[in-house]
Amino acid sequence: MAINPWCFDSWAVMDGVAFVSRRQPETIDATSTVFLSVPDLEPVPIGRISTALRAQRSSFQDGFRDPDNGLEFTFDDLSQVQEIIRRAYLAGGLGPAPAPVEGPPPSPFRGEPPVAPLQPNAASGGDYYEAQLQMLGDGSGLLPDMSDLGNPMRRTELLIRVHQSADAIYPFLVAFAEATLLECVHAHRDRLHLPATRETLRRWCYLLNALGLIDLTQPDRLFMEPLSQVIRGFDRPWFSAPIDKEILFRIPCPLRAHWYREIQTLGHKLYMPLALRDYFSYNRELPEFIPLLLCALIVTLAPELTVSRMQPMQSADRRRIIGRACEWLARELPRLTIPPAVESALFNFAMSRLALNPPRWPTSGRV
Amino acid sequence: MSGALDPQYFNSDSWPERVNAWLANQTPDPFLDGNATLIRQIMEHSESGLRVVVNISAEALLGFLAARRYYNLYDNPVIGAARRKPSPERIAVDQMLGFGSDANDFYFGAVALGGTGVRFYGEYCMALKPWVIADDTQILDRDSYDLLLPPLSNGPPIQNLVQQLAGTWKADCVEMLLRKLLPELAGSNRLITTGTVSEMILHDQEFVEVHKRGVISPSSIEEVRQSPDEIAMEARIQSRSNAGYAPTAVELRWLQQRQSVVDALEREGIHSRIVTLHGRGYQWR
Repeated sequence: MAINPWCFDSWAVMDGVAFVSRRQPETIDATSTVFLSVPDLEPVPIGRISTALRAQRSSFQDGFRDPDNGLEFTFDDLSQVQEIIRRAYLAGGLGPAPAPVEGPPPSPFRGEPPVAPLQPNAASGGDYYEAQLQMLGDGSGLLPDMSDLGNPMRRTELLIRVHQSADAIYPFLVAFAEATLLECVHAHRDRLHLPATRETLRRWCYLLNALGLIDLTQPDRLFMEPLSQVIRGFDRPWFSAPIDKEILFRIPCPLRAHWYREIQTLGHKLYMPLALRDYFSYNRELPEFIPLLLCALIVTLAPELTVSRMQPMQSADRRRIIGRACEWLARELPRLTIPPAVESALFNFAMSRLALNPPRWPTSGRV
Repeated sequence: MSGALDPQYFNSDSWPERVNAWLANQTPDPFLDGNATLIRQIMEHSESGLRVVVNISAEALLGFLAARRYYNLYDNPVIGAARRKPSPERIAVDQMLGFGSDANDFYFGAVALGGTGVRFYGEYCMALKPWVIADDTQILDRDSYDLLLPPLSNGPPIQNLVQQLAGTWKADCVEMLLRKLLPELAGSNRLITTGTVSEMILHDQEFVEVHKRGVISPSSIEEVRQSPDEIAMEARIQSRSNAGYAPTAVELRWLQQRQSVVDALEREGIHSRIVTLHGRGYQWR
């Protein structure tokens, strides 16, 4: 007897939660129904499909259908289903979080006193990264083609080469890390007097310092005067901040001229390659991989995994942390081959989410 | 084994009549009478009694607070294509429940005594203020989509069946629940506790469904409840991360989404708390 395929019954895409059943498309005669939910996506058996269908009264979408013909997609095994829920959930993060059109009245105790904002004259991070790449080159002599990152069979080999090239890759990481700092100051230039903005910048400086990408022990030698001014003005020491990994979703992303202007934060540069299998088919050069590598370094950073200030140890430290980041990327990049029509639906969904963001100008000259 | 539906349960009598008929058929049992009285007291208590709850996922909750209006279904899918027409199951359920052309005005909830609702439908459980539920709000003794499946789909004419299983919030809710709970207590020889009543009223996918008519807005919310399970999962991810085990990208997004909910609830001034399945504050376990 043929085994029924898996079909999506109900799916809360943005929340990474779905009910799927083994059944023929367009029927409710299910032989098995399971519930899957992030973060672990372990299947939980559900006794009856009615529970799954009732979810459509609670903000779940009705099934998952091919845009070309309106028919339900079918899947041979649950691992494909898990991969799709996972990647769609990450793609969902490319859009803005729902923000109130009109919130409750503000508290009279929360008003900001009139303080003249700091407005350092910082160039945009995107401009800076472009300028640094003019000097560093496109990395083609080092790692000429990153497109194998989209291929689960060949990805590990490429990531091993990245790992082995840690010292040579570091200048690219430094350039992008410095660009993020400049972008922070640039994007938040009228908010640097606010405690939350200052704290974000302080934490970001701490993380980049721990990764050996900037040297905060000598702020006067920082690469840009407006930034060293801001850093010197920190109210609290930079060397005792928490390892705040969610900061990736608050740090504005420096934009190269050809990047989507709707990209807002570094988190978007993390989600795009993890959600879209073909991302590196269109972004083959090393400088396009650097933002993802920086994000992976932040995610895998641990108190004992930092880059020493002592010169003889630095090369081994860099190699160690890049190794951990590559190991993480090998697990997190798209894992399975899914049908092209499903891949296409995922791509369209990701792009539609990204398009909901307000566009940013990539260079300071166009602000 | 097939057979007819239980005529003591599936009939046209009112819910109080069905409770009385069931009690009259039992061997005299002082604990059963005592429990019936106790359950009524627990459920009818104005401050801690029955509530209508709506479970909602993080993104939907954020959307609800942003739009200041709850939408209980998506007209269009978020990903992929829409059906060419509404699902036959949804049309069938709408017709069976008698929604007619006003189907979009009805919002689905569940009856609960404490607890975190039907968590399959969302990790956040919104308890509605009692006064936003009209007395004549329709309730059904089960998930309405069960009407689509055997044995109910093979049973008596569906409109008769729905009439037998439905009731209204004010007049029937307590009696409907009593009819559901008492058979499970026969022969227990002890008085029931609030925690047990809470678990029996809404257990896993078993619940009394509420068809609330009219908009649900943030001002309709008495409180938002969460299960300790999600809090424990959140703490575990964070502690693993602090110990040097990198979170997955999905875990990062999940934490980020949950933080957004914390911020939104604080901004709205909506009371939020962690409760156990028994409906009590976690600290009283």
